[in-house]
Amino acid sequence: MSVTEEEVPADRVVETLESLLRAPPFVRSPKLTRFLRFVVEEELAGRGATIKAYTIATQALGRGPDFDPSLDPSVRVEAGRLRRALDEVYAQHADGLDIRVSVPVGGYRPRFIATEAAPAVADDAPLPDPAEVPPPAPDRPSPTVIGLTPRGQAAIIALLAGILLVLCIDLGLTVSARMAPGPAGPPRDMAVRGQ
Amino acid sequence: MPRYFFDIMGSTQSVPDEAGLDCRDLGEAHRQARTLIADAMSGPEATRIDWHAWRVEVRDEHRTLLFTVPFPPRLG
Repeated sequence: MSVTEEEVPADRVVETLESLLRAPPFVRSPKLTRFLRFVVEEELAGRGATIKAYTIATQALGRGPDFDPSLDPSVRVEAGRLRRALDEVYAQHADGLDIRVSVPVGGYRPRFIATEAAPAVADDAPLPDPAEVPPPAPDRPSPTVIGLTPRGQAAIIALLAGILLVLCIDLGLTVSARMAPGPAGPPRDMAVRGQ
Repeated sequence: MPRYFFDIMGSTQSVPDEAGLDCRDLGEAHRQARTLIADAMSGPEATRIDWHAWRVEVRDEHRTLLFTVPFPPRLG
């Protein structure tokens, strides 16, 4: 059964294939490159059922028509290496790879699975230690905290300073007016206090 | 991480490793060798391969032989 035809568009599989083949494990190994390209293209062409050790050996790995898979483990071995190479690419070079290509053990037909692209931070962020996770807050209304921008804080400070200045001036004027000697003598309340 | 190469050797033929694998240490390299053996022995076709004659030669980046892991007679 081909998962490709049912779940993943072929053009996305081809894009993923080309991305995979640019990754270091495949750059280092022309054999693995030919192996992966062959099985993916055969699967996409609808010939997945004919992918056998013999066809891989003779059409992708350059072996002659006398290749005997019952005596020669070459394709089995390269299939194992291909699985490890794919694991390495998805573990270390997975950027932009939203299709998972795999070759399940026990066969040579590839499978294609669309994967959700997880946020980058999710992979890198360490999981919190359960012992360090604070207990949930009790079910009660939390106090309201009003946040002010620095500009708002400056405006409030200026307003309070202005009010304080006005009060000081008013107090000063009041005191000086009462302290100043007038033509009728000291103010009555001071005279009363002097008595 | 250091890279290790896993050459598969038989009595008359070999399947050399072109790509190698990055492994943390020798322990992981040994596990990869055993995984490679299990993969090779569980292919879809019936075989008449005498696995007893096969082994994995694990080499470092300079292709110096580090250790050898023999194939078991059959997959256990």
